[in-house]
Amino acid sequence: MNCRSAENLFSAFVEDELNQKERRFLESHLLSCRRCTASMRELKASMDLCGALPDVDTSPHFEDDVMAMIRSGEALRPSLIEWLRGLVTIERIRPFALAGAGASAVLIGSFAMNALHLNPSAVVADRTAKVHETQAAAPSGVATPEEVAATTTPEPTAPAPSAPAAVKSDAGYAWADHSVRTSTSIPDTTVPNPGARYEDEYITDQFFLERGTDGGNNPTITPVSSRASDDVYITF
Amino acid sequence: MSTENDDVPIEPLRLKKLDFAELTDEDVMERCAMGSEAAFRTLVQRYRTRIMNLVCRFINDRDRAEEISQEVFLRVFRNRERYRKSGKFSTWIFTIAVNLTKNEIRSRVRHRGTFSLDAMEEESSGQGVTFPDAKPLPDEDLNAHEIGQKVAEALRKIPARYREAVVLRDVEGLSYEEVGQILRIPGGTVRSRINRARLMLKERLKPYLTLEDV
Repeated sequence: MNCRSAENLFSAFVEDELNQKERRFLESHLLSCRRCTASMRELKASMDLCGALPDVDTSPHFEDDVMAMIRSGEALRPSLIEWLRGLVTIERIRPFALAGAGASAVLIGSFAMNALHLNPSAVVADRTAKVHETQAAAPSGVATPEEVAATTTPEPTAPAPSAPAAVKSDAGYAWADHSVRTSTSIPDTTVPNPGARYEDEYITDQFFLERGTDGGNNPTITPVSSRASDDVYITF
Repeated sequence: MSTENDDVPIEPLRLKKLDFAELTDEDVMERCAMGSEAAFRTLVQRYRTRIMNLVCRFINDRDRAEEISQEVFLRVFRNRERYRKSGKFSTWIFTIAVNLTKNEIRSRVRHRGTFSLDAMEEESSGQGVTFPDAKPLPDEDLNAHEIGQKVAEALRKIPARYREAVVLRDVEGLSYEEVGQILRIPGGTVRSRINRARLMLKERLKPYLTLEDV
């Protein structure tokens, strides 16, 4: 142990806070170093002097002055920092924090919906595009570019009393009908992605099952040709 | 219409006067928070000298130290409802005092032109400005009062961050843990600052030390 590291332990030694190992090292150093021994004694003596400093008394009217300032109210005005601290108490902040948290949750939710492509209108448009891609790939496809363009913006029509009537339409025949049905009284149509419900109901790329009503509350399932020009449909 | 009860003398309601001397600082402060003026007076009486000592050791101005000490108690009163009994009252009030004193030192440094050399040393933390030690006087010429002045002077001349730690520990007698809480520094830093401060003080006080009984 050198003098510098010994010096760092002086206070702990005087206050008996050293562990056994440190104490042994320091004591062995002090035995061999007269300078550190003297320094340690001086440190202890100066600590005693500090501890023996005479008190600085307050004036006799100290307490009365404080009480007078309190009674007058003048001294009770909060400082700027105290005033600001009073403004930001938990009770005051809580409503704003809750409102902010709610708004954040809505924002995050909408971002998440967009990120996951769960926007219903976007999904419908996407499905429409897929159908027309299929039609274009088919050798007997008859859809013209104008028709494709027309089907990408399906226009809602009034709820059809029977599905075939909608299927006969040249433009937006299938998906347009589905989108319309989302607003009918069929309970399943409350699902925000109507296209997804029908995806597993494809029979081939030429036919799929279409749900509808018979004009009343009775549901119907109709196998439908996916090509409008075929004009083929079966109802049972 | 008289009843049996009329014959029984009514004992005067005896309210035992609460003796705050028996209560801890925390209990007294709790009563102060409930609006007891007597409790507040008790706290002022208990702490005024300690707070005055602390502030006086930090700044070299007795009158200003008294004003700051009064402000400490006014802040205690203003914030009495914020005090949490889970913490020690002494730690709380010393924290207020240290913060106010630091503000005072900063303010003095900012207005250095109208203040004394002490403020310059506050700012430089004792590193940039050197103050030669006063010519040491022989021990026998110094009485206790003069030695006290030398110690106070030595305290004022060590850097502020060391001084505040050693004053709280060696002058006020607080524990290392309390010093750490008041200064918001970890325990290891408290210990190293106090050790460093003591070494500085030892160097400054060397001419006045009597080592016979050490």
